[in-house]
Amino acid sequence: MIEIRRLSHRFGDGTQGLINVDLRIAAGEFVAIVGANGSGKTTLLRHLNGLLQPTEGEVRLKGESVSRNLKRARQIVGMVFQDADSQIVGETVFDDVAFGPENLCLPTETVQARVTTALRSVGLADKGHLRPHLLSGGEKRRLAVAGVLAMQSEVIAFDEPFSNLDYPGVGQVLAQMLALRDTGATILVTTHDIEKLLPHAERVVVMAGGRIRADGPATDILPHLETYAVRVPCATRLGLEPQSWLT
Amino acid sequence: MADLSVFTYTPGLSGLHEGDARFKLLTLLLLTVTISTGRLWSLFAVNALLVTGLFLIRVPLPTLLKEMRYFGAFLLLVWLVRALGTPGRIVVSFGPLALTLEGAGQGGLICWQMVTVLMAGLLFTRTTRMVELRAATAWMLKPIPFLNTHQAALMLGLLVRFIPLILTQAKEIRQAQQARGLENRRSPFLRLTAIAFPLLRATLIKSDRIATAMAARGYTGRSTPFNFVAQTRDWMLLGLATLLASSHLWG
Repeated sequence: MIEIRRLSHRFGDGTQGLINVDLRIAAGEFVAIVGANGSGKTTLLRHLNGLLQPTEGEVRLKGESVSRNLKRARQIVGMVFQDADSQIVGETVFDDVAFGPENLCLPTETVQARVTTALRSVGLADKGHLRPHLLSGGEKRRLAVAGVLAMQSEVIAFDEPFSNLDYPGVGQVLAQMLALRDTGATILVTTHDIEKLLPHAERVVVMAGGRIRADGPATDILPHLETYAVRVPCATRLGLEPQSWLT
Repeated sequence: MADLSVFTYTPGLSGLHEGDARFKLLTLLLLTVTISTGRLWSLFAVNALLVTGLFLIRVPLPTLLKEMRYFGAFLLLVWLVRALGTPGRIVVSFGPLALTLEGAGQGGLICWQMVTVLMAGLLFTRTTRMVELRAATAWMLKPIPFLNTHQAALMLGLLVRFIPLILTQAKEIRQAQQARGLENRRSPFLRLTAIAFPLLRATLIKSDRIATAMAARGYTGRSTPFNFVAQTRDWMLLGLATLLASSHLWG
């Protein structure tokens, strides 16, 4: 599904955001990308749909280079940003979800059908007429997910999805992610707090200094996490199995 | 939860909410023309129309008055400048300054016109979704050559949409600065810059994030065309506004 080859990115001020990143992600995988602040997680995600262009290397989606067809890339990879408020452009919940399909120039009837289905999927069907800024933090994240679903994205990339959320909010977003995984979507989640994802992620990619430092099943990665400034969950420190936030 | 202004779109089922945005925009322009003439009877007529509209869409009066308090102070200033600066029959004098009857009347009329324009704007923004505003603006700009109407309309739509959010941000910054003792500083310049610079920075960062999020959702400047449906009531509203505007021009 996603193939990243020798990807490097240098920002305008000379900071090296990514250095020689190689990564392959198969369709349907649930991948946690962890690392400290400034490790390159968000920069990596933004290359997947061409929001950032590589200085060197290439990102391919289903065999085609992202930079060759940005419209296609943005349809395949949907992004849920860290700051949910900045992602909202619609005056109502319904309008906001419709923004993406409208950008694909779909007929009005198709847009309405997609929005209705997406809102139902995230449990916001009865809130379509509300102003998005009146939703709770968890609901705003779910609204962002609905926006992605309405574009029928196959890959859903969550950038720090649990930041600024209370316990119920984390539960809502996590349940939504797992529901999406069950439909066959490819899920990528960046976080510096692995605890919430550990019981669910099949694969953990650790980043530090713009490079991938470790990549594999969570059980193999856990012992090395703190080397890269990512805190190991409390349960693991106590020799216990990490518990899901949904139980 | 966000603290939203009464000047933002509020979902509803009134005739104004369901009206064709093109007609509403044209009506707004015509009403502005009528208001600008300053004729008393046309101002009364426009006000009657607007008050009925505000009643229909149920604008919360206490919130409106609270939000208008700074505008009220501005209006008072406008009135005073006019009342004290217009020659005429002196009502009361304060040293070299004299408040005249003619000045007070003219100042009152200008303030009334400004309040009326604001009410018309309130009625429009509270009942028109951004997507409708965008489409109506694009429709109006269509005849202008060499203009990317979609982009221009989106910019206008986003401006209207984000003004309340910028005001909320300004409030947060002001409270944060007050918590750090800003009120104790005497210099009004320092008090202003202590809020203005962080607000400018925060607004630019937010704009950048919004632009990125829009790009991520496939925004290219083109989108599904909006289907306007004009009904009899839209024509009636436009007819009434045209009558009011033209009665001044030809009457």
